[in-house]
Amino acid sequence: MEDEHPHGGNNQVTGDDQPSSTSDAVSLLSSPMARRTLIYLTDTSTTTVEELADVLTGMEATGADTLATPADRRRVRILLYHCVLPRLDAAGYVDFDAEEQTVVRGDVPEVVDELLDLEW
Amino acid sequence: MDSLRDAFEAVESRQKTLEVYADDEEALAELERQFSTRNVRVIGRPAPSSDDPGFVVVRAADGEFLGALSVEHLEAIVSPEIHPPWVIAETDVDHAAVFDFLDNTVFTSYDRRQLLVVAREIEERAWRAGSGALLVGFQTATAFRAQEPVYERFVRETDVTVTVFVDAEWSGGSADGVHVISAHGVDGEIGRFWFVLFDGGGRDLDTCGLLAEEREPDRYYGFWTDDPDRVDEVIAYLETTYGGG
Repeated sequence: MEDEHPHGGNNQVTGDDQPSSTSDAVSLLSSPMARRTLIYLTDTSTTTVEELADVLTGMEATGADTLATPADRRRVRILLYHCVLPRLDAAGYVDFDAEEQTVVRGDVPEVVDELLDLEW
Repeated sequence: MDSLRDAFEAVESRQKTLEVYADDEEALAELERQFSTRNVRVIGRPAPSSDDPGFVVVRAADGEFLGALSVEHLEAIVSPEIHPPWVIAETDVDHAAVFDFLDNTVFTSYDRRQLLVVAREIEERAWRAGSGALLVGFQTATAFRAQEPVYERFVRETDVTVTVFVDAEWSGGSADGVHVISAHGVDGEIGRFWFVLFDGGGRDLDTCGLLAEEREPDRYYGFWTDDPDRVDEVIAYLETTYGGG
């Protein structure tokens, strides 16, 4: 199957549909959920929204040293689906299929990997 | 319900799952060991990242997400210290966490020390509530004798009524207000079971109970719960059968 990008083309990284600068990447990565999504996808290149919701809820509970409830997970899932994943998809860092609810690691620029290594 | 053992049936069908997201094989093995005495399945999953210390997702039998917490936090709440209820009420010891975390889950091989933690949590809720009915079953007169001051203090300092069931002759040498029922019970169940039941004093949120059967010396099988219907059912059974409450 070919990619169904609206403008066709050979999907070369030209920078046109990527954050144009480090500041855009920093802005995107200021969200802990966005960072955790990309960190998780470093080792697990394909996942689902449900699995990501479990993992991000667990990471959040670990960070805050609390017991996460089903309500916490619902909040994480809604933010993931409606906010975090569409933004990461728009940046090209992930390929988010909202219908199938799958998430695949996309083109993550080196600068983003470097930013993920930092303490936030 | 025709016997205390009948109360186990509804709980036995619910097996929880712990999904352990950690690369620490030792931590996984330790959790498997700790939960081998419970109706809980432990599954290992890869850590979310190499520098994450790991966390656990708890699921109901149908896969529903019940909670998540760090491995470290879980280890802390499954091995708590033991304190009497009036001390717990004044400290930060998070016994409520362990109670909520593993309620309605059958344990197959708990010892007295582990059950005492849960019994104390139930007594602590009754203590805080200040009124209601507490029903406690003792297997032997010696066991009751050891805890008698705790219940005398309940009667003296709160409006909680205390009914004690004991599989022994009891000459009534206890404090006023502690109602003692001597019974051998259906198939000698009073001598086999350890139970602590608090009716919540009309408040469903405070209702809780522990029911455990000693199946081998110092090896108990049972569950605890804060489901008011389940607690009420056991209390109603005791009242009908032994006239307590």
